[in-house]
Amino acid sequence: MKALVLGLTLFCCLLILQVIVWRIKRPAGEYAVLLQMCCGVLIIATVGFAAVSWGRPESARFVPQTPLEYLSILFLYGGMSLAYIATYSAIQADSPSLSLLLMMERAGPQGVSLRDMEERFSDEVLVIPRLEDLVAGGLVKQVDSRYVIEQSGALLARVHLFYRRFLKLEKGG
Amino acid sequence: MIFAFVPVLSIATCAGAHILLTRIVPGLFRLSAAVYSFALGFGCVAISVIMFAVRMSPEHMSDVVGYAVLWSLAYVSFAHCYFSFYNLGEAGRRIRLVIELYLAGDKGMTIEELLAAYNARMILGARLYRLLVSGQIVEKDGRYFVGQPVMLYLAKSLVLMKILLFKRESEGLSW
Repeated sequence: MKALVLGLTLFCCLLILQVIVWRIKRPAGEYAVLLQMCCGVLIIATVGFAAVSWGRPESARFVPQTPLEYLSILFLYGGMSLAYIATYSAIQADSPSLSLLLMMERAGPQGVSLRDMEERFSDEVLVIPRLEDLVAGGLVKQVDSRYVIEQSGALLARVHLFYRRFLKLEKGG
Repeated sequence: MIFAFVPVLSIATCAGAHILLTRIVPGLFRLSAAVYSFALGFGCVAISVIMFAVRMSPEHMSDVVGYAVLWSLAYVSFAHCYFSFYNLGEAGRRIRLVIELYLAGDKGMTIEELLAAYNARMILGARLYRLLVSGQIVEKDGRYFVGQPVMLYLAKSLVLMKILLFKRESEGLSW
């Protein structure tokens, strides 16, 4: 039960820290900062646990003691943090599917026509901002009027292409 | 200590089953493949909990409950990461864009060439298809309505998170 409580507490600390930092100033490289915060919380917690174990043996029962407890906290906190970072892209960028649903809900009983959706969700809304994200993230560069893949973008593309071909799936999007 | 790796072994089972199902049964509905493989991985967690409980004395049953919850949460988190990775390739616009640009090679693409390969109409069409097939929306006389509201509730949760983090409901899309 101790590992469960400590793991959940660490994750809550990460979330609170992110809200504080984002409300002060949203960082430019959001994912990189999130990963750094995730690692930072884990490192500080691990050092703290070790310090308590060695410095205050009477409080040692409140911190992990065995490899099972340490690894369990690592996997719980690590898993939840990575899951949150994976979800963050849906928070940061508007999902077309979810935006469509919200549009239909607000339209109420009259519903939404395909033409309404095509007018609202154009290339300027759905594609261009994502392309700009890739340029800002260094995955793609702009050379005159052409967009060219960078090494990091190529690596990402290769990983996904290999995975999708291995699963015998077509290009997604 | 081997029990510490229960979430890792379970997600490996889930991912392995998902890859096998997708390759061997190409006609299987993608959501079904995900559900079956997730259930198999969760079965590994359940079996591990039973094995762990058998080794523990009765006075340590609270530890068994604690670890059962912990492994379940960790497994669900790992599964979320795996299926998010899968979904990135399935529905991610940025992933599709880097794939198109990667395939174009060093010469790259102009915005016109890129939009010819991947554009808003294709994006809308794919999403409407998925939402219709999964029952999240229904179509009647050429107009679309919310069906089962599961993803709608998810959308509203994300809006709350956007307001908490960014003090606004969306990045620019208005509905």
